[in-house]
Amino acid sequence: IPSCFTSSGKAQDFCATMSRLLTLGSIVAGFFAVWVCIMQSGLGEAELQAVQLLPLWALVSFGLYSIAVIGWSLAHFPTCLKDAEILQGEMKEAQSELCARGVLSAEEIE
Amino acid sequence: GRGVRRRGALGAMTKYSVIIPTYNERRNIGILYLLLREAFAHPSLRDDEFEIIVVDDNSPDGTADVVAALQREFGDKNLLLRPRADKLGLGTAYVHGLTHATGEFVIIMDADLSHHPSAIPKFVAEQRASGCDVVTGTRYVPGGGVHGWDTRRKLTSRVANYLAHVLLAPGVSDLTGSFRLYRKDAMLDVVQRVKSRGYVFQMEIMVRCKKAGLKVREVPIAFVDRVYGSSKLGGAEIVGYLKGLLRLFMTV
Repeated sequence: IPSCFTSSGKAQDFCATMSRLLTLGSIVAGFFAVWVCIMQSGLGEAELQAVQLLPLWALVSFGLYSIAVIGWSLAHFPTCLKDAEILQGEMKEAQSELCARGVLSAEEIE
Repeated sequence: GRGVRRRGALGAMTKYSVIIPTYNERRNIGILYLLLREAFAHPSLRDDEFEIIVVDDNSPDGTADVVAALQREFGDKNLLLRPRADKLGLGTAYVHGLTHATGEFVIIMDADLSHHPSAIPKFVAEQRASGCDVVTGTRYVPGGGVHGWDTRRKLTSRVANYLAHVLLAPGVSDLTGSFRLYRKDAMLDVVQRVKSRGYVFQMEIMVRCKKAGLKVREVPIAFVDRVYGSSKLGGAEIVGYLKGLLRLFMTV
């Protein structure tokens, strides 16, 4: 069991200094260790074939899940047209004030 | 842990330093300054002091001159120009601004008006309410948003974000955002360890803040991109992003 899941202070400190690669890497390694164990235990032919395909199945599922999440989040991308319009107005006002105060010259106004 | 900041009986004043790196922002910096003044006049910020630190990288278009004109015209002793000799990059611009900042908190933002100062009172309110160390503006949640991106750009953003979430689990919805409020001492401490440049800098500093155990909260912001048309997201930038992401994945 990865030490991340224990509550000992030392283990948590070690986890905190582990890079994300090591954290994910050890979890993946853990799953593979379990997978290898299952493969080597005495199982029937049909079950063994199913277990053999598990990692591939997991990868494909992750890929499909990713596409779904990205697609959904793209469709629900928040926009802010109102803020853009308000900004346009504020820019014009600000530009006239800056011109009036001599900070910007008239030909600089777009 | 850190308690929620309480206002003293006499209305203890907090000072905030707004750090704005600029390069060729002559047309925008004046407008931004006026919008900032408006934001600082918000009732919730009545008892607070704000300073603006413009870090100009020797802009050839005379941005520094416009800032000097603003200083003269408004007599604002809290508008500071801290220029640098050359275009030295965003990360070091923030550090440069930090060394001159005298506030307890710093707010970093872009000079091109994509970030609207009206969000500043919201950042401050969030920090006060939660006692957190960092408030980060997020463009990607309802309440926030982006204007000026086509579908391709949005897709790039979503894929990039998804990758970052899988690889880094950053706990924030907008990793590359650059409109943030930091407790100054915390930022000074973390920024020493950041090695990236450009927008990967924003990613790295957020990931390192989280790792250092700092408390981070998010506030939705509107992002109005008026430059996307002229500065497209090219292949080189995408590769740079992926490289930066991978490096953070392996080292942080």
